[in-house]
Amino acid sequence: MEKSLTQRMDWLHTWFGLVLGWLAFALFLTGTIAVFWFEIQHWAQPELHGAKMLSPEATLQYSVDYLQKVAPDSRRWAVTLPDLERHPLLVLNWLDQNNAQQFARLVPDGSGRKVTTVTNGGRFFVDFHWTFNREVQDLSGRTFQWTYMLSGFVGVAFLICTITGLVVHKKIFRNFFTFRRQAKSVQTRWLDAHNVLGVLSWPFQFMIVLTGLAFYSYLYIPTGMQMAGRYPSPPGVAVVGGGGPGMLWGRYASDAVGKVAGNIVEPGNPAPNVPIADLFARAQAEMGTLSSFTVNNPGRDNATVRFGGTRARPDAITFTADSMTFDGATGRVISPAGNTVNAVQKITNVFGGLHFGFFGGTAMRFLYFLCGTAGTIMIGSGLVMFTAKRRAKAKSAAARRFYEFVDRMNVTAVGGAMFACASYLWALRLLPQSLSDPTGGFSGGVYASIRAVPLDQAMRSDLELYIFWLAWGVAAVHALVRAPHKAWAEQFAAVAALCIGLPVIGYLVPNCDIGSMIAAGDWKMVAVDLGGLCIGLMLACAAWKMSSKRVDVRVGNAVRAPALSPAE
Amino acid sequence: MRAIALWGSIVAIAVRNGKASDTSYTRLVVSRTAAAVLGGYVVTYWAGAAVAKIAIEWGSLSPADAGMLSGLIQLVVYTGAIIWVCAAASMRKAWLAIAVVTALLVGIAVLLPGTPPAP
Repeated sequence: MEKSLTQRMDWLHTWFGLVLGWLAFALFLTGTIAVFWFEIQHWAQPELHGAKMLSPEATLQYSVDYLQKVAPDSRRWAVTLPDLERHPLLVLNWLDQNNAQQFARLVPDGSGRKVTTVTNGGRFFVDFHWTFNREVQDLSGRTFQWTYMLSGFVGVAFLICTITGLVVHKKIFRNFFTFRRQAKSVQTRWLDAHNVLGVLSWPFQFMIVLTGLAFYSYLYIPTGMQMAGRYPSPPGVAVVGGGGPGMLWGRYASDAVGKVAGNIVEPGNPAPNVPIADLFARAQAEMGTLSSFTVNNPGRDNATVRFGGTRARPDAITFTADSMTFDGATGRVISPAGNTVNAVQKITNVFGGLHFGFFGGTAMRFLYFLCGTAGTIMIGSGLVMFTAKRRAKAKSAAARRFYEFVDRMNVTAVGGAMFACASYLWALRLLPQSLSDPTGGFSGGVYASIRAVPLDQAMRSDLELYIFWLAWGVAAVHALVRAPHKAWAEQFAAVAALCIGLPVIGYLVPNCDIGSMIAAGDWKMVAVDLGGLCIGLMLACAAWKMSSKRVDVRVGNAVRAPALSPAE
Repeated sequence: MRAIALWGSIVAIAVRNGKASDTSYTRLVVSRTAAAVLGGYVVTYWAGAAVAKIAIEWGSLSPADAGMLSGLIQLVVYTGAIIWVCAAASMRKAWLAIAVVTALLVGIAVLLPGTPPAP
């Protein structure tokens, strides 16, 4: 093998980067889109567009009145309050006379309009980003999930590439300022682009992959958790499930309709209760913005009212799990607010907070999005560089065939992933609302997972996913049959057309056109459309550059470029 | 195994632009990748159990904390193991180190007294 340490690190960087870069690109792309998953969720539900939202206090009063009307004798009400800034959707749950769960997903404008679109929305990108879109099982099930094992391994490979990247690019300061845009050799330009993006956003890339892995690290090889599970744990502390997907995604202002039946307390005697609005004001004073509340036995003398704070606050990096419980009849505090998590859980919560980027508001999310984009392009340029560097120097026929195969895989991984995501967004917009799951769906709180059902039984949420994978398959076939340099340009052009088309197809669906949304001041929805438009224009520019003859000649045919190792 | 060797040789030919007869390089690539990815996995697997056990038995961490801590340590161990194996100058040394460390960790996790019976 290679003689020096730098060369061996170069080998590791190259091969881990190539083989896992194909998957890493898709993970990075969906992760970057997922920064705005709430906004995309909002964008995918036309009923919510342009609605005049009530204030938090008025929303609370409205939901209490609503539940008082439909279920005055219920044993439990459970309400997910809307996230007015990002994804305003009000979900009311209650138990009926038979203690069966009923729910209503409402537009929080006081009109009582229901949201009937059941969609994977932006949540799909989140789930794909760490499971390749397979069902996430409860941690206590401890089933072996090869999909998130795989995504974890891709993460480790990416972490290794960020570290070895530092070793092979020893002249890091020079790389930072070097971008030979006019360089004769295409390879030099790709190398410089890869280096500049990598060096510039290195702290972000390292942080994002490290925190993502650290947050779920005990899931991937859970031997430590299993060992800990053999010890008796102190009462009230569960070893597994204290934090994890369930805790995180719980019902944080999403449209998951969680199961609320369980631990039902027998109702006491009818008794006057303290107005819930008063308790709400007290809880809000203690915990800030509230995301949910649950009432057990409303209108009885053993009523309890529990308020949940938001999982993530804009002013704190870490996740919190604040909640506060009142006696509903007297207004006495039963359990005060306070974040009671384990010591190590606190550390992983900070990792989680850094990774998910819920803090710091919109500006911070744009920064995450930009850095994520830089990382995505860095992976893509690294993949391209692999072939650009070697194909020209290929000596044997076997080697040439191998590089051609790599090139086709690159198109499938880069162009195909983008094409699939853009097609998915079209599916979100264009699939008819009437195909939605009539029961409301997602009662287990699980979103994106492929169900293998015949096409005529498929619901809207299934079809969205079918379209995603079908689009990727079409792109893969296209990459196999076309000459690689043509396939690159054509797939970029197709993605560009789809992205630019996003605001246009809004006019085909009621309540989705960008003009009236600007008039209504729904900037969340408009921003997704305009974002698609901007990205589409940039991709169109890239496609145009790729299709021009000069690039074709240099990438396609051998150019006698001076040999240049990444260490230069 | 033969499939792995075949793939290894394809990759090796492609990488070096060399001839198919150059098998020592193939062996090296397969050995290094296996030691890094699989050997590193085995070390990480047992490191989790060992760290959790040490943290509970000797430290004062609760089981919940120890389980999560072991996850964090495992991440460092796997990443470090892959890089170290690829940085090692001799493969014999790398395999030996993996074997010794694994034996040590298995010893801690399984043989050390103190594990309560599984529920």
